[in-house]
Amino acid sequence: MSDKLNKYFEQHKVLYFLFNFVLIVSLLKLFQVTAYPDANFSEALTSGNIQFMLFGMDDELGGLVLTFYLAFTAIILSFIFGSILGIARWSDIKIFKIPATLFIELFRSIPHIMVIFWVFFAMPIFFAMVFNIKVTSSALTSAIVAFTLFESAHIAEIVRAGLNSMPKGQFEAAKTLGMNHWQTFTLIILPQAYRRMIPSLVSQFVSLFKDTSLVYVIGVVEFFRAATIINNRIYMSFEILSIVAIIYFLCAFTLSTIAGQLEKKVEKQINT
Amino acid sequence: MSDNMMIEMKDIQKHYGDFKALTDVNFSVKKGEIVVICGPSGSGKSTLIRCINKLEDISSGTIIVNGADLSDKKTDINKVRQQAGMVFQHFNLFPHKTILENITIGPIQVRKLSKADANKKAMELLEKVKIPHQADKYPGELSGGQQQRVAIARTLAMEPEVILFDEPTSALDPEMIGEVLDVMKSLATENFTIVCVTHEMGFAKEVADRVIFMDEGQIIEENTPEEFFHNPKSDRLKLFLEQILEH
Repeated sequence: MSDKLNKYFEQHKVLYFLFNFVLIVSLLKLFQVTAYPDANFSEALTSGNIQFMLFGMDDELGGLVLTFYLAFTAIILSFIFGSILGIARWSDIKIFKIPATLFIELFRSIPHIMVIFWVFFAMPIFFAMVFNIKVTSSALTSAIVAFTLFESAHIAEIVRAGLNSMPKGQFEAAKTLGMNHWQTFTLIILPQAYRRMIPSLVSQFVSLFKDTSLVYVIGVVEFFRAATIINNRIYMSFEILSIVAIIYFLCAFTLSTIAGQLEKKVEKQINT
Repeated sequence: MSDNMMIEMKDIQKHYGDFKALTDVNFSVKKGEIVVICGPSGSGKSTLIRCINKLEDISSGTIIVNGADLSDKKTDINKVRQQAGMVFQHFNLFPHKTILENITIGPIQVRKLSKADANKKAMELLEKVKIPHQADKYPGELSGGQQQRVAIARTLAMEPEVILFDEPTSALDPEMIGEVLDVMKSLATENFTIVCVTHEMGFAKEVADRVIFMDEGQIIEENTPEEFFHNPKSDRLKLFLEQILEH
């Protein structure tokens, strides 16, 4: 029976995803019915509230869309900078290795929320003092910069670990074909290392996505902040926070499901 | 140095800290010659063969491969490596490339062949090692014997002057050794220069021009296969032959 079911779900991945999703949501509903039967979702979910939570205000981008924008930009930027930093720290070239190591260790050791504050308040002062130019950095720009800084440090460590995991034989095989260092690295080592990193990278990106809720401290009205604002107005914490939880879950779950598929696809390209 | 020498190694010393991996090794291979190196594990035979394409640096001595002095800073080591192809014990295929791409990546990237030419040549080589129908698979989907045959095809695609085999059958299941040895024997009939580290004494008897016995980082004895197996001179070789031929 379970074999049949396994086979069926392997062929119908979307159904499998929906099955999981429905199962989890109904468990949550069961929890709600027993723990808090008075919940009134329809009152909390007026169209105005939904619109504010998803899109923010008319004249200013906010809500879930802003969360996506922030997370997506930060993921792309930190992937690029994190890769550069990770490769630099992995390399034997001291003028790259030492600054990269310092950067990574610094930003891994301080609280994320502190970096967000620091960038928001210190960046204008820094630019005024060093470049003698006045920058009025918006809260959103500060948030993206801050996320790129500390997420790059985390990604860099994943990249370095991935590169370290590459067996010596791959370098030797490339060398014996007469490839130079650049060809060996870009054609043989890095593509394989990235395939090995997929699980760690995805879990880092999922936690980045969830951590975007931190930027409320500098007044960015992203999804979580928007929900809090509504809650402060109507005082329906259970309903609002349950909805917030489900939507975060849905997004993160979708992301890791897609990543799981990708992982499966490259599995046969990793090991011999 | 005469023109028909492929590899010349003189007074090679190789140390790892206090450990002497190679001591006073003098070794040469003529063009078209097939040399088999054997010896107990840890005797330095893999180290020796890996020095020829500079996967290992030597502590002192000179190595000349097809006229290029490896210790000379002006020598382009990548050029030398194109001429001295190597087949590894653990195949070392590129797992993220298909079988065809594994074979063409060298010719396309290093020898700057066009993709069409490289593919054509690769398919010929896959025919030769008898697995043309596996071209679009990934190495992880092939058996060990098939992978090693692909590795040989990958080396041949670079059109090397000499092929170095570093225990090519040691990581294989017994039933797959034969198919790899068959491919190697076919190369032996085609005038390739071959240096092979192996425990396959049958292969040595059948195709080698010369067999070398190493122990504790030194070349103890070298001779034609007939003399080597039937008339060993040193006690250590006699002991070694007794040990492996018992089984």
